[in-house]
Amino acid sequence: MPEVRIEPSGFTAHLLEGEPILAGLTRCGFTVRKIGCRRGGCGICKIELVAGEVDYVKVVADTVLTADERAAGTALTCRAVPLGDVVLHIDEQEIDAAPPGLLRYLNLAPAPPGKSSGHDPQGRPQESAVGSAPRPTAPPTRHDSTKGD
Amino acid sequence: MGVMRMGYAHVRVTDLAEAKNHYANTLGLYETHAEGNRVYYKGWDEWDHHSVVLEEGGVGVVKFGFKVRNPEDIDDIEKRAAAFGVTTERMSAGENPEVSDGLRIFTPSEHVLEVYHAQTMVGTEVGTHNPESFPRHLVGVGVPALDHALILADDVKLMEQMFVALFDYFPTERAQTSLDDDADYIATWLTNNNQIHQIAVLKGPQSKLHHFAVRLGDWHEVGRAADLMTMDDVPIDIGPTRHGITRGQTVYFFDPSGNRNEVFAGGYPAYPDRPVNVWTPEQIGRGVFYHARELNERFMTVST
Repeated sequence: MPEVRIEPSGFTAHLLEGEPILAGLTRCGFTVRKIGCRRGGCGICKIELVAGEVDYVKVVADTVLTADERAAGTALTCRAVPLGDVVLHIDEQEIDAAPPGLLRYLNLAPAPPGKSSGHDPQGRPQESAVGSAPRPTAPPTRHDSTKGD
Repeated sequence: MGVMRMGYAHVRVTDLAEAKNHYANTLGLYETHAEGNRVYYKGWDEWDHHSVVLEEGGVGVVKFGFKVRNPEDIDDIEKRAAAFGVTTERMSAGENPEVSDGLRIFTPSEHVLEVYHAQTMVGTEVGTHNPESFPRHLVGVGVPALDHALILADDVKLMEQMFVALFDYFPTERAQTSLDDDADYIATWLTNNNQIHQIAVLKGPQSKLHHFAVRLGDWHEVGRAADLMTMDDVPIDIGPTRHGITRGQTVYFFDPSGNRNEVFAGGYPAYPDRPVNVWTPEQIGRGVFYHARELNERFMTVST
């Protein structure tokens, strides 16, 4: 399962196989400011890829994402599906994370070898899966990172 | 009598199969024709052959059709267009399937409008002989008809002047930079009959589509449409809510290619002698989204 890391906040989202970046970030509890039509038509959600590659399973209009933009590493994130781990740059004021407690339930990492999937048989997330770190003593802010959670 | 209504919206879609699923199964339009990379639809309460055309390849609007009452109206509008100074060309019957000859207008906003006087009559889905009030087996939202469109233009005032000069339209509402006589226009809502708007123009990039709308009956139908959008994973832009402008009830949403659609109900009856409602920038949020009272960024920035 691909991992999407956001610079400079350090937020990390664990996407599902075949999941477009924007849908994955939203599902994992992150609020991205620049969301438009969500269906590849408007180009509002274009973001620069810092590292990694993406694929487009669905047809994207050339007028929305030009060949030059693709070559330069711009991703139309509502349609772009990561081919492995990717790193994106999103300014900190353009992305927020859900509070750490909630984030732990939403942004589930794939299970390390030999460990549980993060769910007990009743489907409740376990503390040990992602987020065994103690809760911060300071009130959560939007600069809180999931790193180390 | 001139223009009667906006008769069709012809838009581009990136994937025809996905688009057909949206327009036929979620919105419930009736497919009346398909050829090549195009599919033609009508709503259940429309009698002409088609009102929505999907064309595979790209996104955004190809053109809009406006139906006039008589063939002579075409000549009249051609003369008015020449006098106003917009480019036109004649179009032949059959250039659009089941559509008469007419006039193609290339607007200052770089949109294409086709004025025609006839379309093959196929009849509503309830007929005319002792009709039922709606078809029993509607699909999805069960849209009865196309309603209006909002296009983007660099010069909104010029576009209003064009619709007034060519189509005898009149503004019902406007968003202006101020209440002064020399204010710039941010947006204008236009019609030539009791329908609150047939076309609207918003300041923005040339040639772009903000949305095209289909008609619903009331609040309940708008709410039910939103429920169906959730069931079908249709991205909702905003709503259900009311527009302060027109007082219509609405959901904005996106088709599978990212073209913005709207379901629109209500709106007070328009008259040419009714004073124009004017909205100023500090209240424009309430004008567009009457309950949220603030514009989301998407409303002003997302177009196809």
